[in-house]
Amino acid sequence: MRHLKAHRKLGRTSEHRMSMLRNLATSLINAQDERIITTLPKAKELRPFVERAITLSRHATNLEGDNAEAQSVHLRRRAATFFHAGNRQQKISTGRRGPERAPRTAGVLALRRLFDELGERFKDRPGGYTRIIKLGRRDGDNAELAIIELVDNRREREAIEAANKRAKSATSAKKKSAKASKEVEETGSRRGGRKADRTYEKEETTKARGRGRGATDEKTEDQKPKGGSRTKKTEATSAEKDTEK
Amino acid sequence: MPNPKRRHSKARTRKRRAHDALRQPQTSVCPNCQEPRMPHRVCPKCGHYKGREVVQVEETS
Ligand SMILES: [Zn+2]
Repeated sequence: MRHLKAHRKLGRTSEHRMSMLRNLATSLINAQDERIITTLPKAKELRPFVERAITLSRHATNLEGDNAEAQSVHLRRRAATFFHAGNRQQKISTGRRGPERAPRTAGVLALRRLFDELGERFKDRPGGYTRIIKLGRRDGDNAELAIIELVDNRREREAIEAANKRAKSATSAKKKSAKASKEVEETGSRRGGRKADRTYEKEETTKARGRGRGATDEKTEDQKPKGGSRTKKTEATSAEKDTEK
Repeated sequence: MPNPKRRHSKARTRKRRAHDALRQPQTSVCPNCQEPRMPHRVCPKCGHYKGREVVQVEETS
């Protein structure tokens, strides 16, 4: 019976599984666009795993009292178990085997980013820092793929800002239809209106760097359907980046 | 060793298989491009999901 068996084994021994989860967590937090594509079961296993680490970093943002410093160090050390260690003490091999190995620091970077950036960002979010989006099945082994991403990421914020901007320009342009503009203004102010002033400037710069993908796509949607079948998703996105550059 | 006692007629085989047909997978229509796609999944044609979200960009092969 499956009763009380909360987790998947993913066809691995516990060491292998833990190692993989740490790799996945590191990748997710270090990923440039804060998302990774894996299989759905791995994504579902990863979610509670990274979210625990993120919660620790969140706790570190509101420490008080005499031992706040010690508390903070303690939280960091607890969170470090969710990533692979830097392995600094590993002997650097320079023998016949070739050049010395680079120190493994991806986990250290992830930990740093977790506490420097994500703790502050998710300060007021009571869990649910990630989102899983199903992508459908992969050619070859028919495995169901999914995106797992950190919520409230840059792409999302840009999309919201772009929507804000559109709403604003609509209000300023069409004063005739008073009812309609009122509606848009309401929606605009609901989505963090404070940032709306900076929107225009920011979007321009990001577009120039080829990063404002979310925002630009929405505008060029009409020309988008170039036809053709689907290729590998990661390749498509990177190719697209290049063309925008 | 167990062996069949009687011949298995085509009719028997076919009657058994009468219920073996596969169903067409359930699809829904993408609100963005009107193509059929699997429910609760990103549209493979246009990469949209839940309205505004462009999840990934589709490119010609
Ligand atoms: Zn579509």
